[in-house]
Amino acid sequence: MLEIRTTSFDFAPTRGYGPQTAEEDIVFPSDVATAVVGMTGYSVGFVGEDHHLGRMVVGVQARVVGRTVGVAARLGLRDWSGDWDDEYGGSITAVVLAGLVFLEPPLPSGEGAIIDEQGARSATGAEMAVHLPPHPDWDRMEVVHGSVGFAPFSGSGPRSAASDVAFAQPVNLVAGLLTGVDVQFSASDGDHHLSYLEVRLNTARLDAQRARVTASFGLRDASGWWDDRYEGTVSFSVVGE
Amino acid sequence: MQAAETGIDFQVTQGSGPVQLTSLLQFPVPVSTAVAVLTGFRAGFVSENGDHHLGELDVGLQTSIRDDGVVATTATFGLRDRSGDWDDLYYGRVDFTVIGF
Repeated sequence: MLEIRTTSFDFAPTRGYGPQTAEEDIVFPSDVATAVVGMTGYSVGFVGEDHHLGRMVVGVQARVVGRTVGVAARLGLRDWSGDWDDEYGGSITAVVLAGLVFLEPPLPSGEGAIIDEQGARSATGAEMAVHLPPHPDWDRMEVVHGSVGFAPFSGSGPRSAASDVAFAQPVNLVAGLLTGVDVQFSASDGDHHLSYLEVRLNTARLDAQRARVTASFGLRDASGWWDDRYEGTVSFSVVGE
Repeated sequence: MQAAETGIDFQVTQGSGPVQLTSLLQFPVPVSTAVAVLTGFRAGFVSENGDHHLGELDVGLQTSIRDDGVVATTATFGLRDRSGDWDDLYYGRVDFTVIGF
């Protein structure tokens, strides 16, 4: 059984350190077999004033322990003067897709039961049969994680790079989710005005057990032609079923 | 599970923000639950008007299923510095995957 939960994180105005982090535990009614978290939105900004863009970070990550999915979020924004000395804040909204371990229906009171090869439960002492799903959803969903790094670069943009991911079992469908963005004008070249920022994922199934995630990333101001060095990491999860 | 990658373009805007646009999607097989998750974004100030300090960047998604089974995804987008009141021309795109069950 799949269950979807949404969550959100508010990052209060902060200066002096970054990125900020926040965590929330989401508890499900039964053990979580597999889970994935993706971002559904974010808002990030300097508080009360504006600045050159140095580095921007938004991201989420999930960790499964029993019935709980712990979601960790991070958000940061700075220029390259000082050390996170400009007040910044924001928010991240996220969704968790959790495949739950199937909850067996309660047995007839005081009776044992036999489950045959087809998953049909035959109750003894009471004329009752409950058919368990032969292919529970959680058994089919698989999640793999990855990231694409972009080394310091200038001269063109947006740039693209691909990462192949492998599934343990064959999948018919894949969906890539953006889980993190950590982008910057290279610190050695200083911060800049913002003209254009692009981060994009394209996910394609290569074969039964592999998918290719192509990430595009570009960051520039309006002076010159992609003449400022920029770099970053784009993180993702791929859901296969 | 069904999934579809799509996106919403935000044309050049000035004077207000964040702005919202809605995209409609019909899966081949009707779904009872759907959620849109970010796969990317583009955000820019119109280059003819120069670049700007960064004040605020907003990207968001909200998903609902209409009575006719169509999945409606509303994307939110905004980009501004802190001078004026959304007085700089900006544009962008929000990319997302809609997952339906």
